[in-house]
Amino acid sequence: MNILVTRPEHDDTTYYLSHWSKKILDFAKKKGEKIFDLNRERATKKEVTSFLSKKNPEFVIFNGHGDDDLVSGHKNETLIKAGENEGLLKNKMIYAISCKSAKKLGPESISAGAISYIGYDDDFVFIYEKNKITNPLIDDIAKIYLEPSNELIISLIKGNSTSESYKRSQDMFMTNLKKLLTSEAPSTPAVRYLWWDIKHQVLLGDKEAALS
Amino acid sequence: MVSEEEIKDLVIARLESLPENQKISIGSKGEFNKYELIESVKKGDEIGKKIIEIELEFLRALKKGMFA
Amino acid sequence: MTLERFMKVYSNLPINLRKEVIIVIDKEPISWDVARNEIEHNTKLGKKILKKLIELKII
Repeated sequence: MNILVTRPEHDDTTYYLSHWSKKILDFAKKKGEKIFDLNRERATKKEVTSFLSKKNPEFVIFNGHGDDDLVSGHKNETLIKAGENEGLLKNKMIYAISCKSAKKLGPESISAGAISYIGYDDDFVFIYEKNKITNPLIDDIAKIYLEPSNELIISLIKGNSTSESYKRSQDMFMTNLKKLLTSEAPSTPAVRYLWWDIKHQVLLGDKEAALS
Repeated sequence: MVSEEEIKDLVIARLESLPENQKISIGSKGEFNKYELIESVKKGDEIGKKIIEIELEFLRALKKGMFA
Repeated sequence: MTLERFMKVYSNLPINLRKEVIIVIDKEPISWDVARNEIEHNTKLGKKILKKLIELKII
């Protein structure tokens, strides 16, 4: 299968998302999947439009920022906006870690023919350690948020349905949350933001869709 | 009736527990340390309101026994 | 009745959350554990705490 990923890296948040997403790409490549990796300055509207139109990826992963009606790329350039070009997502399965986009862009993409859209209908929030910014993958605090996000992608790439993949991601979020609530865990504010992300992760479209 | 000030005081007291070496990424709004968040809550700006919303949603989930 | 209401929420709280601040009264932060003690002993502070917790829909 063909997978298109956007990985801007222009601030701490996108840097973290990009590096955690890279783990998935390495997994997908080992599986023999074809990856179109639009990293850093390549995460532009021009490139995304070109790849969506010409390479016709089955699965699209948007890392980066967003709003309720759009996902953005390098330096917050709008890539896909509801009412403008969501039709580019027709016949594709989407995962957008871009904040809030599942609120409006998600449903409009489904109306325009996207198979499924998994994302967040409000801000995706996570805690990270300032001194780990140069190596996000060793940040155990950020891991509790980003690993469940990755789990969703891994599950889809393995061929599980959208509903199964969504469930696995939600289950991993909850497992991480419950670990933080035991008597032996240090008290941490991380829990409230995990709960927020769990509540705002949504699955739209075909719940039985799966990548071949 | 709980005042806006009382809610802010509560959220600020809860934000004090965020470790110094940690920052919070809030969607497209940016990344903040605890002092910046406390300032935002005091000011009542968009970030402050979001943090209050997150805290209250969590507290109400505790009431429902969601984490038992 | 309100003590029961408080205890119903409190007893379901994970142990490591019970030391978290749950309300601020007269600029004093009050944790779940402190709130429990005041409420169980029916103090004036306990009554204030209960009233605020109900208004905030935390219990």
